Amino acid sequence: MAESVIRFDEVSLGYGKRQVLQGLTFDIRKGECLGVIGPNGAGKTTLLRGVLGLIRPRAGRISAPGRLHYGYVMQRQFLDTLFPFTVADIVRMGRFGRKRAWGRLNRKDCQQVEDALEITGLADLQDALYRELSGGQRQRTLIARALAYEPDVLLLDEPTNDMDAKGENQIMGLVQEIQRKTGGTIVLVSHLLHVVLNYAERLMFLADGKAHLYSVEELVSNDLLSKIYGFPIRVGLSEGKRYLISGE
Amino acid sequence: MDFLQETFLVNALVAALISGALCAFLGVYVHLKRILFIGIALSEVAALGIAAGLYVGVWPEASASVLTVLTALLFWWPGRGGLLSREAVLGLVYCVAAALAIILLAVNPMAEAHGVDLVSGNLLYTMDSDILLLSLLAAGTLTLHLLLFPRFLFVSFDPETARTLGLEERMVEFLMYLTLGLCIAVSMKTAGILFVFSSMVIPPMVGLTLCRRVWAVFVVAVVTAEAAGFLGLWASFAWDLPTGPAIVCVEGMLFLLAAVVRVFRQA
Repeated sequence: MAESVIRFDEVSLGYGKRQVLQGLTFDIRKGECLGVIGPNGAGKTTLLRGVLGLIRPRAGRISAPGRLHYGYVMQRQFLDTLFPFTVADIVRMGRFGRKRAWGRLNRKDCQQVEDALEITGLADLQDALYRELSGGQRQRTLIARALAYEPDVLLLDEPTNDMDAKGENQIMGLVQEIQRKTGGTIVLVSHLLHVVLNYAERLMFLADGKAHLYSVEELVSNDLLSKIYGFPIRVGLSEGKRYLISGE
Repeated sequence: MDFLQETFLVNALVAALISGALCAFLGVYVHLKRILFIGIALSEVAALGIAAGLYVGVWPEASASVLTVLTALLFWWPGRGGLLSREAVLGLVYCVAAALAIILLAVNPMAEAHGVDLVSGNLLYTMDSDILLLSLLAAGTLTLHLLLFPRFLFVSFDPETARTLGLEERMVEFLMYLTLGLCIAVSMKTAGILFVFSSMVIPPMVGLTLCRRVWAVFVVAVVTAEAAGFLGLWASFAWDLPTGPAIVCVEGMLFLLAAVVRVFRQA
């Protein structure tokens, strides 16, 4: 079994008096793509915030073998486009996590920014204004910023929200390519089952404050999806891609 | 340049230029963070601090700075998202601070003698000590902001990601609110609420209207504040107008000009 990079032991997460998730026990394995899925309000973003240390566990323990660097790609809808930031401005932000408080970017940092722009296909758009980009290009910019940080774990929160099929395919293709090139660990959060089903190796379902972890093969072969969702769902395969058929 | 023959007018100009530049520079962050009402609420708290200082007989800049910085840090402190919005709390702070300042000035017979007009300010009463204080504050603030410029921008734009990347986001925010509180408090004494608030709002609007690079927004905001300070003071001298409001009107005209330029550029 692959080495564990993050371990949850009986972890409970929440805000104020509200408990969102409880009794979470699982590992995130090195080099895997873990999909996290669940309905709106199930606690997907809360789980990410727990991994990132933005909220402390109310119970249990989240541990890692060493100090990890997390590349967080937040939901782009939450970013304000009032200011004229260029793509390069935003990607450069990722490097400041690797600098001391007063540190300036050096040649190595600039190279890292260029590499991140190259991988995400944004080299030609680096001087374009972020606010003038399409949804897919904005998402690539945020992924490039996370990559510029040279993360051990890349966490993507609803990366294909509000995208058409083409945009969704391009972004997920990019995620796949990043994993192939870097061999890094990816946690992919989405409410779209077909997105995670095609790209993740294991899937975590969040519902009623609990987490259930399955391998994709397990889900597909045992008709587990129908049991989880409470209505018939079948998974088909066409040209190497899984698709969903729901209903009788 | 007849109007610069008089020392008190030179002092007024220097104060307008330094205060205007500081407020315009920090105002860009205030826009970016969408906390414009904090500017007006803190200005009113600074006014209360000055009125309280005059009433109890302590240095007004000190009482204004302490009160304003404490209030700024109150807004910096993360709330728990209770029943009231941040705007509601800002409105409360503004109203109560304004009322208390008016009461303290009304019951203080010395206030009028000091020529205090906290709303429109009175740059013509600027003294050498005011300029010294403003210069020290401006030097400290600009040094800090130039050193940490990319971090201030990152944290203002996307604080959550900044925190996940290991930036001391709370410390950067703290420094932001601290400098904001100090600049408002010290500028308020000489320039008044109207000048301070408008310098935080209008020059950055000119920058945002004209510029396609974030650093240029800061440069144009500061240049606009300087131009408005100079032209406003000249207009005040030429037509015997109140100084602070004259500068604010010039800022407004510069914004209109910028809007027209933008329309023509887009056409």
